[in-house]
Amino acid sequence: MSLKNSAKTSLKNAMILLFIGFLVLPIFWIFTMSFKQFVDIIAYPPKFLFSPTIENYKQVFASEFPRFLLNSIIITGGAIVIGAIAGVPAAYALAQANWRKKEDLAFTFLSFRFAPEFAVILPLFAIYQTLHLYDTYIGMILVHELIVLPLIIWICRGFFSDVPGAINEAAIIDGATHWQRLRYVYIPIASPGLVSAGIIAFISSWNNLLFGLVLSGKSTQPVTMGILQSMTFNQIKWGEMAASASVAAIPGIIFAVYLQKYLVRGITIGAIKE
Amino acid sequence: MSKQRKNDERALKVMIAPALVLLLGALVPFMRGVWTSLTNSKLYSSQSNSFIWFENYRAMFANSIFLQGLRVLIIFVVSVLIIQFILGITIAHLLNTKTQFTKISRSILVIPLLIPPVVASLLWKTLMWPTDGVLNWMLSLVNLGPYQWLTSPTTALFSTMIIDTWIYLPFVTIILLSGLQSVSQDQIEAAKLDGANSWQIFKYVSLPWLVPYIFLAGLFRGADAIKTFDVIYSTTRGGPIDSTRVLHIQAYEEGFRWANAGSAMAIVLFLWFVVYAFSNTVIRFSKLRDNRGLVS
Repeated sequence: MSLKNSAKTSLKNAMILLFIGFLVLPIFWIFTMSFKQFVDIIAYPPKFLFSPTIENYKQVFASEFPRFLLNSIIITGGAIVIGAIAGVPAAYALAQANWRKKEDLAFTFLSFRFAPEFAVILPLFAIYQTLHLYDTYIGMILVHELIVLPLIIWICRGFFSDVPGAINEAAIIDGATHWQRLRYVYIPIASPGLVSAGIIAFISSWNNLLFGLVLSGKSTQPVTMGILQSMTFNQIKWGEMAASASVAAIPGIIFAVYLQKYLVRGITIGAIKE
Repeated sequence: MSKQRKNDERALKVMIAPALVLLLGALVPFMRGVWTSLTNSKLYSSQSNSFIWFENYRAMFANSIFLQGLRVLIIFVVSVLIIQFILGITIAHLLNTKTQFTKISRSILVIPLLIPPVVASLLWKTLMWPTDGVLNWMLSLVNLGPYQWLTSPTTALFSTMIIDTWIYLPFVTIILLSGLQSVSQDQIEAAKLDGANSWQIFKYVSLPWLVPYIFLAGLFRGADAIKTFDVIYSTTRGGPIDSTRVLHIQAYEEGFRWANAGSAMAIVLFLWFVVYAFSNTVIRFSKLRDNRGLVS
């Protein structure tokens, strides 16, 4: 019995390893490519042993790439800040209010996530030109609210709903207003969830391509545009491309390790009662 | 209601106001877009801006490239949903044990989901390089011929499906895993005592608990698959020969390659309608099967 079980477990683990391998090896491959010299990169059959170099990273950081990185940080960071300021109280309101149309309103916020972005972006292209918002940080930050705000509201509302009613009641008895309850009760208690909302929103914004593709120009191109451009030249600079891809992937990798526990709960919280 | 309560209730409205303003702000370009779709306006000039009612839409449905794109999109969406759900439930089942190994695996599992899709596309474009990419090298080791991957009309769509699966399979998996973990252990034990085998336990005990999670994952994945843009734009731009020219890509090209703002909006508004119909159907269906449903 025990032998059969341990054989089953080994088989299970082997299959898990296979899937994990499929998911991780491509990243690993590009990561190693970023440390290869050009001759090693184009060598065929592919070289697995090579003498590493940091030349690719040097080239990348000497190019425009740091500017793209900075742009992404400003745009996404700004979007998260505004998204938090507008979204957290809104999420609280949606969790607490007794309005008749509350669920419809909540769903309307969510439905922005389901629209093809281009439907808003194309008209915005013309509108931004008129308003002189094209290729500006403010313009980009505002557009990113389209993804960030619904996410923050959806996830934070879920975590706020999870706060035990008894604590809310106690605070009301103590005479606390909504603002006070938000600040002293709900935000502290729901803080792990709020952090996960922020991270999910950050990643969604950081990874976005279309907004930058259409509405950014020389001054505000995000890192996703930088990566895209490195693929379209006639002679692809493989090493630099691998290095810039590795750098662009870093936030995702860091958050994956940190976020794992909260990621699922953040996604399911708005929809599934547990 | 006391005056203080009234003021406090107003506080809720104040709290939601900024978010409402921001998102209503998004409706302005959308409305303008709807208007544009009913004209023949060009992107960069404000001449030739006449109202042509539904001419853009009529022409769109008669356009063979549009129809090809629709066909490609349907194949893409249905295929990735099937592939990702089958693989997703499999891996979720495998990871549904409490060991250090599965715990670490779960952290690593989500990495593809969190890196930019552009980067993922770049990764795979490199691996799929037909002349000396790693994948074809691996195939050559077992005497299989070089596969064309993204460079041939017959294989490009399938290749993009692989990339899409690589990125989004973790999403489906972690949601389904969460579902599996919500299954009542008591019911499983009871079923085991009744002599049920693993498959029966899955079908009659686990599956009912999984339903809301399946709907949730299906809703998000389906809507995102219909809107697919990043992966295809980063790898094939719709080619070779329209084999991957899904509708979101077509809308972009119509607008920025041909500068036809009107017809571009028609395409993307049709796409919006498809996503809207899809998500409404899924949500409504989920409410029928399960009292809890999605989105209460």
